[in-house]
Amino acid sequence: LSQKKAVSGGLHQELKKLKLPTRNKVREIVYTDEINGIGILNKLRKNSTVGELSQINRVIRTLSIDDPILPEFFPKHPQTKENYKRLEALPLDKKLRLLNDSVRINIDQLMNFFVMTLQLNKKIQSLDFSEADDAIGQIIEKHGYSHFLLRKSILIKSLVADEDVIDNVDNLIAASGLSYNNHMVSSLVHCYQEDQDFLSIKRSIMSTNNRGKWNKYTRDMLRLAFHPHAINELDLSEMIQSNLQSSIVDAVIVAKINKQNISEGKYKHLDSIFAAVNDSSLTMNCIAEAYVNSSEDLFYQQSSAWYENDDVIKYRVLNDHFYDSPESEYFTLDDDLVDRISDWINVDNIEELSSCQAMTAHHFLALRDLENSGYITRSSIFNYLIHRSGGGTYVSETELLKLMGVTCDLARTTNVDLMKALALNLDSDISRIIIYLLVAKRSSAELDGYKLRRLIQNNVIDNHEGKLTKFLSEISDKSPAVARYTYEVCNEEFLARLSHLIKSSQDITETRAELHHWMGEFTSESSYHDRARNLIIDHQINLVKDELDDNRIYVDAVRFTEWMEDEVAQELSTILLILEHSDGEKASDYPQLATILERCYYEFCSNKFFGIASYLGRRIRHGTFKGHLYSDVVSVESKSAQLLEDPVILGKWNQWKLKYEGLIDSIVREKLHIETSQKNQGFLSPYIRSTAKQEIAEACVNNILIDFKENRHVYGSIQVIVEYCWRMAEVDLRRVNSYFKGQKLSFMNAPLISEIKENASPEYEQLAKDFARDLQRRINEKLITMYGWFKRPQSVAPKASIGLLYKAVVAEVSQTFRGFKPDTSIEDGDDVEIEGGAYHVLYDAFYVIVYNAAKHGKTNGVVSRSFDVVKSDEQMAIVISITSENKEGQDDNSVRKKLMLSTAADIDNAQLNEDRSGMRKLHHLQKYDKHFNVDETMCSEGKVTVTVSYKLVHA
Amino acid sequence: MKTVLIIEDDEFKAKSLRDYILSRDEYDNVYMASSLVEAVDSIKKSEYALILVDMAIPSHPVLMGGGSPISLLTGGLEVLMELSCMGRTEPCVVITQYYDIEISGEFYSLEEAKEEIFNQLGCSVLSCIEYKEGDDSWKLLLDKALK
Repeated sequence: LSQKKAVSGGLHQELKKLKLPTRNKVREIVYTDEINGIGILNKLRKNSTVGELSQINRVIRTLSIDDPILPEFFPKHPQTKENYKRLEALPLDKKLRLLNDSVRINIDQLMNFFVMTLQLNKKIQSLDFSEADDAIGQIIEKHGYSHFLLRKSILIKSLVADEDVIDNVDNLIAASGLSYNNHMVSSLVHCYQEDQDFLSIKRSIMSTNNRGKWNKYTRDMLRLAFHPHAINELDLSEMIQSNLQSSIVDAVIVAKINKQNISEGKYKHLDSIFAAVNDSSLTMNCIAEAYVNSSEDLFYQQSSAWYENDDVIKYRVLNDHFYDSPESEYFTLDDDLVDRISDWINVDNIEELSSCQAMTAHHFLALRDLENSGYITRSSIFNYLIHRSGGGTYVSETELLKLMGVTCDLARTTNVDLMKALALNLDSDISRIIIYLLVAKRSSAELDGYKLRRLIQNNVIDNHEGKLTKFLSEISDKSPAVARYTYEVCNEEFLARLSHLIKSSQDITETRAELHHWMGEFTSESSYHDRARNLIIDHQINLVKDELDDNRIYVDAVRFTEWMEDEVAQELSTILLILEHSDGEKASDYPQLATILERCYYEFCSNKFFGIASYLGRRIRHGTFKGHLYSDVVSVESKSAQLLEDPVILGKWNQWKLKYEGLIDSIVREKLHIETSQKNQGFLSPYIRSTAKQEIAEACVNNILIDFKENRHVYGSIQVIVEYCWRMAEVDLRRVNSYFKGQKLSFMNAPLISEIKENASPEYEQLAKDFARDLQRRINEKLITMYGWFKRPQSVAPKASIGLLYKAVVAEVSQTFRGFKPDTSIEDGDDVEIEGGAYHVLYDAFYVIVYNAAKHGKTNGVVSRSFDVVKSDEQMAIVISITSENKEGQDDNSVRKKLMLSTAADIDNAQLNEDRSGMRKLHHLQKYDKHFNVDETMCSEGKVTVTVSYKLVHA
Repeated sequence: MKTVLIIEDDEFKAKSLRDYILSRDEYDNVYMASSLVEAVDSIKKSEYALILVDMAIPSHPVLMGGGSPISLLTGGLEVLMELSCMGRTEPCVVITQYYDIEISGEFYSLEEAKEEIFNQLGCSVLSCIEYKEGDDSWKLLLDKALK
């Protein structure tokens, strides 16, 4: 009671320091409803002096201790949620004066915090993680939680061996929300792990959905590890406010990072705490030394754990701005910033960059080693030098090739316009190819893509016998990085436009497959060979498949899958591996997967080569829609010539046609598009915004996680994405059809038709009635047909029927053995459709069996087959038997011996050896696909029968 | 001999264009190309008195059993850039069934497109005309462009 009285007495004294009207307002803030209270506080903040405001804050903190309105300076719980109502931003100077005053009030505690931080840093430096963990515990106990400590803790966590006990660190990370995948914590965990794509994570974090003040705190805290620099004074004021919500320690750190915006000497308590912060740091050399056995990448990723060090900030200022897309909205490369960066740079000429061993103006040998052995700083300086020269510089081919080997991510970080300016100064085709390769993926300008294609084609035709792979081989000797990037750029869309090199549709597929094979050889990664094989198989199947329904809405699943393999598979795989350790319960716990799905769905809708956009352009806008709905309908007039001889009726009819055409034209012009800012009435939205789509997206994410857990491969995830993209598209497709149904009355335009009937002379009355009925029937029929166009096609995932696979394999084998023509006709109802990756495996199996039947079987002998779906032990399987006749003069015994798989037979080498390798190849498939089984190989009565089966997930 | 090259994959539209061109006195012959590859090969082989270019064309000719070509919604621009790169100055007219033309990711009305094609791609065209089946207004616009 006495303590309460003392607090009450103290509070009374503090309240008395405020003017009476302010005192009343403060009471109102605390005791009125929250929204009203925040409004009053915002007004007070605006109109009060810094001294008054500081006092107001103090009183509010004391009065609202049970239900805090303002955050604590040293919170007892980690602040990783939007726990406080966002207050309006103050002008920077006022914000800094307020922070300055808060630092003054808490100076002893802050000073002590940074003294303890130095001790903690020393423990980390000496790799004494147990003591570092103790130090973390002591700091928390004495000074509460902060994101500064969270970063230190995640750093420690990433450094310790699994068996080490670091309870305080673990508790802090857990209390911050890792277990429920709090984005602020999980993004830091990803950022500090090795082999992360920092730029991708940064892009994802910096484009966190802006929900205004409702997630301002989250957005500001998320960016700390990726881009802690304020773009302007208001941004800095907001960042300080957010960090102050976490802890005064974080506010001091973020202010210090941005101290170029803070006049020295004006805020003396800030000046003194900044000095203390820097004093708490290890030297840059000590920090960098810890990474000499890893990489600059990891140093950069984890450098946010060392923001107390001024030199780390200098390192970050360069790389955060020049190792990032210059189009980013969160920074501007103005003169002040570039001048500041120039103080850190020690190289003037791009020609010296690849070999320069002292690129930056500092004396930290360990950092120098990291910079020289890494890629990031050199890439940043490359971009810096291009920026400084406005692209008006020169670099020789030799030097440019060298630079491509010692830099990274230039395609994502260069300034497109400046690179194009640079290309004008270069004197070799290879140099220009390199520059346009770097520009290709980011520039939307038609001319840039054309120039690159022209340069590559000329070079390949003049120097490499028209073979792209020969060009790649030669360039890879000079620069593997350029070869790899050329491979990435040469996707099917790109190849299709190489009109001087690629002369047929088949060449597109074959060249792409050759490129995959080349990459497989180049990198020794078998997945590239698999992609080549799958591409050829799909192509082979398409050759024997009936033509697609031209009118139905369509996405080229094979090309979409190829795009995903190129653009998202690696990122998806990395994220899925990371998420394995997360115990999120619902899809919204996995925002990284949702981001990937959004990207995929956008391409699914908008890609002009394989997406719905290509269909809308090709089949619908391009005449089909109007031809169907207009020309066929108005042709009713040919049957009613007599009726239309009447000028009044003809006038009405022309009026009807005009309105009808106008309606169709407006649909074609405005609606038959993918929604964009220019076509905002477009039928299909490429975004996952509606609740219905979000629910489907959540189900998709869940299925991706399940599939990955079962199969440990992203191929299945990619097929899941194809399926769910269709489900999301269906949401809009249903709206399309509803819209058409809703327009039916407008299409009919009944009043005008009635006028035609009413104005018909008595002798043509019946004719007019028939005319109106016929017109309505035609419109009805056309609409019904059209509803079918905007439905998901039945075949959406890459798939093929067993009969079609067999047919495609026989067609391929027949190209080698011309006389081999077994019956491949498919009877209705006697076929099984296989989806997903299974059909590639079965194609390979068919190929082995059929090829051997053609090669070793009787010339013109009978080849028969059976395909059956069988069920045993709750497991469905497709069982395939192929029987062929023995070659003339061969008895069953000798054939049986050939078919036997000796135990010594090396199954893993089956693909390397052509001679008598058929059975081994089948067993190779069996070994590496748990669903595939070689059931039986037998020879009797002059016939060989091979039976294989494939377990089906669904029947 | 004055030959016109028509780059168009829609058979009906191609026939319509062909008939109209041949009905005019100043042209003697028409050469047809239905894909980007054929168009590029044609302009490599000969020069033409006039080139009519569709915007959306397939990358390659459609051949039975040859696999599907890629649909290039801005394939016509590729032809114009090819001509420009070769230093060719034949008069070109864009005739499309679209209301607008996409250039470098932005849509432009047919009235704006001529200027944008020049500004962004450095290619000159006499006009960009909308073709409508069953409507002869495109003929008037083409006449006007060719005067």
